[in-house]
Amino acid sequence: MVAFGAAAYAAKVFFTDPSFYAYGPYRGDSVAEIASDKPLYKGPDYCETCHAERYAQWSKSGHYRPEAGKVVMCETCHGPAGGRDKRGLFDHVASGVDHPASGKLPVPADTVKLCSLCHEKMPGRPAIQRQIEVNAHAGGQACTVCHNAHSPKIAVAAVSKSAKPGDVAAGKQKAARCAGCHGADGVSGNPAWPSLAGLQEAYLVNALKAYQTGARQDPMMAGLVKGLSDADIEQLAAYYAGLKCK
Amino acid sequence: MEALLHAARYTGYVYPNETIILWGILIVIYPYITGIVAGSFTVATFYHVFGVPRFKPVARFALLTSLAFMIFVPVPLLLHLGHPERALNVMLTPHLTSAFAAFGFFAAFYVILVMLEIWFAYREDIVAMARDRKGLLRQFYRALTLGSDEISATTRAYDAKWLKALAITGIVGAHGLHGYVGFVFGSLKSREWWGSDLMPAIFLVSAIISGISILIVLYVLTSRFRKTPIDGACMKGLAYLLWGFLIFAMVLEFLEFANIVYKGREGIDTVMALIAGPLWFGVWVLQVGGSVMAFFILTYVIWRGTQDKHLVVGVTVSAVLVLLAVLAMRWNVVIGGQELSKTMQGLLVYVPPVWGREGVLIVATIFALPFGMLWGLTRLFPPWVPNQGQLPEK
Amino acid sequence: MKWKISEHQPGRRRFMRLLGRAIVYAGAALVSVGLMGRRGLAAAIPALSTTGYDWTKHRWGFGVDATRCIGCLRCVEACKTENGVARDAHHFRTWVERYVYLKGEKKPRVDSQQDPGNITASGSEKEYRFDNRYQDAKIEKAFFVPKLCNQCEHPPCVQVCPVGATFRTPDGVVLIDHNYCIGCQYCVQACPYGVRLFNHEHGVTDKCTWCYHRITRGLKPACVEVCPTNARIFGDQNDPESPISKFIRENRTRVLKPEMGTSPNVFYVGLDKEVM
Repeated sequence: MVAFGAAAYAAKVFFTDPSFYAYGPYRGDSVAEIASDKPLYKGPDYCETCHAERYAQWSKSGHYRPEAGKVVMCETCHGPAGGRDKRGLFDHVASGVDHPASGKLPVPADTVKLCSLCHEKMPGRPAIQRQIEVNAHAGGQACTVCHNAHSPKIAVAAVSKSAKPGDVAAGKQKAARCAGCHGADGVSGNPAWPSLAGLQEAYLVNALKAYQTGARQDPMMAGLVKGLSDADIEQLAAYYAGLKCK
Repeated sequence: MEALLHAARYTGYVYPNETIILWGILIVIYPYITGIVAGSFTVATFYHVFGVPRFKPVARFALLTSLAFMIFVPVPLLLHLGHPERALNVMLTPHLTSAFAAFGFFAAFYVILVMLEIWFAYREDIVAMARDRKGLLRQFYRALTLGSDEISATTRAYDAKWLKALAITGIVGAHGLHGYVGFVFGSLKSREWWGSDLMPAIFLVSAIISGISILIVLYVLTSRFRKTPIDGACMKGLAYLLWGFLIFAMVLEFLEFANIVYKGREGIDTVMALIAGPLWFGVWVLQVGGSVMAFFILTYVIWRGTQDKHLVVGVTVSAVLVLLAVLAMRWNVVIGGQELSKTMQGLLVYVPPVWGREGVLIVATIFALPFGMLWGLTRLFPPWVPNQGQLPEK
Repeated sequence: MKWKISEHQPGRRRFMRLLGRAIVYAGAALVSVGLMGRRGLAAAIPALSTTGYDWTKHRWGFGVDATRCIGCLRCVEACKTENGVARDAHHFRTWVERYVYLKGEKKPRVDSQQDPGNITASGSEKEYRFDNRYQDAKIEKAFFVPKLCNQCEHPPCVQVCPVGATFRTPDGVVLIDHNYCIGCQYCVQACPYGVRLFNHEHGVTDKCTWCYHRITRGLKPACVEVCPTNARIFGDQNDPESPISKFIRENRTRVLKPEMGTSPNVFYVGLDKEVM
């Protein structure tokens, strides 16, 4: 029986993984295995390396307020920038291709679905969180019609895509065809068409874009905005924003 | 694999990870089988250790039953494991704070012990069969004699001594083999339905009554099959055994339940909802009802001194009721414990699948196989002398 | 070999010789094993030796501010992405519970990600959101409580593992060795908090590891990283200026199910008496 016991113990020693009992009653190598997995979420600083403009915009916005403990980082909406080889985590994979080499990160299409995850008015959400009744807010349109996700507050007119000098002059030229309905100085004489003078620049940009995508419906405007480029829209908006309203 | 996942329906609130009930009927049948192993060994012990003569007719048969079921004990566990090929890790690096770690050692120890005990109990017959049989079987028996074919007063005494020593050690082995299962459940603080000091004792005593009951049923069936008379004294003895241990089991189970109700800890409403809801049939009809009925029948039979056919019928019916009651008890503990959510504010309902690894068909097969093995063992090691229904000297 | 019990003398001598030899062999085996011995608590994990991570120097801690949680479930999504958890409604390393007290009711209504209403609202079991079933109800009080592994000081899950596949590291995280686990699921039963799960695809158990592969690289767990409201706090309790040390210092914290004696390392602020 003693010989059997000795043989059994020898078998145990032979078959047990050598790193067992290294740090305790477990396989010591497993710690390194677990720690070797490649992290996926990289944090906003990684995005800044290529998307400096966007990062700058975001870091001045309401989605970045670390002093209040409110930070919506890039990967929360766009998904992780890091990539891991397509094997399960249980194989403890240390390799993978990151963005940008792995391709573009998804830009969320259904913004109502995404943004309402945080901003839908729901019992249990602390009042400090900005919340809206989704269906009653702006007729349930896509959030990006009015809001820029990287700078969601609309009132801040300074935060639009980089307004360049010369925009106003160029806009004035392009606005000639708009004067027919909206008035020579952006003040409309006909109640059917609104005045545009003094409207916020960002709002005008969004509105024109909305006509282009069809988020905002008007048969006349739809045709008129068809040929406009992003630069055109910026210039028109800059021009009208600068006009005095009466 | 994914398609076979059944999320349990629930009421109230349960933790999201609880919606798939993990320990299914494989884990219900496992303690049932080990219980029978322990219980039938206990009956054999009454003859081999305590020398109660009336159990002679079933003593050797009880040992065979114990072995037959023991061989299939690891099957439900291996089927249940996520990585059965790593099962030996438990023996290689047992984590000594875990009750499960005891399994490999108790099982290995006990299976060798019961095989040794059977060898000693049957040695004379093995020697005789080595002489009389022909062909392959003869070689088999000759190998089993281990080179010694001496039968004398000295060897008989020697064999008897060994038999007694093994039987005494076997009590520890068999009861440890099943007792640790009770500890597996009783030592957990995460589930109110499981965590109880009485759990190892309850499991053990209910194991003994299931073992006694299955021996009663099998003894009656085999006697019918062999067309031999049923020994009345043996039957009476088994009835007494069953009656005594049944009372013990009922008292322990009642105490445990009374404790839960009396202490009325947080979540007691959910406990009561459990036994009034998903578990009511298993608890009130099968477990409580069955045990109480069996108790009354046995009391009547013993008190009235019933004999012959009525004795056999009464005791057998009680045995069947007890078998069902103990199976229900295993279900109520294993499944019931998981149906009561750890939040203590929710109840789940477990519906066992029919197909698949944890399915009813597999479990039924696993439970049927030991009977086949037992039949084979009785052919190899006849517990009763074939002619005239006489008992051998042993 | 006879089994005679007479004629002891030659048999006994032979037996003693056999015994002597057996003892010598056994002794040799034991000594050689003893010499292998334990290598002691290594300061560095070999694979991370280049980063210089020393697990004896950290004591990780986690904080949850339930007054800040808005129930957006970005943490649940991020965790599943980062850690490859099964994308369904029955396997979670972390989850969020919603507690709603309706006016006139004493007990809260509680739901989480496995609730069928929430699954419908999110569109599938692969996405996660809370539905807005209470938007028109009269609410007395409502809040959200994130849950995750408490990385207990005295983990019952470690205690019951039969093979030593789950263990606690010196830096305070309870890990699972997926290449050694036999899948008996005893640890899942033993956890009082329901944070352990069984991965049916791989046949092993799994649980939140505070993103051990991230924290050993100086990053934060994925859920902490994506949380927009700072409801999840992480840091080194050995550093008095870390977010978690400040959180514990500046708040009255409590833990879940303290009566279990597990000594959790997730500290909650803003719990309610009914949080389970």
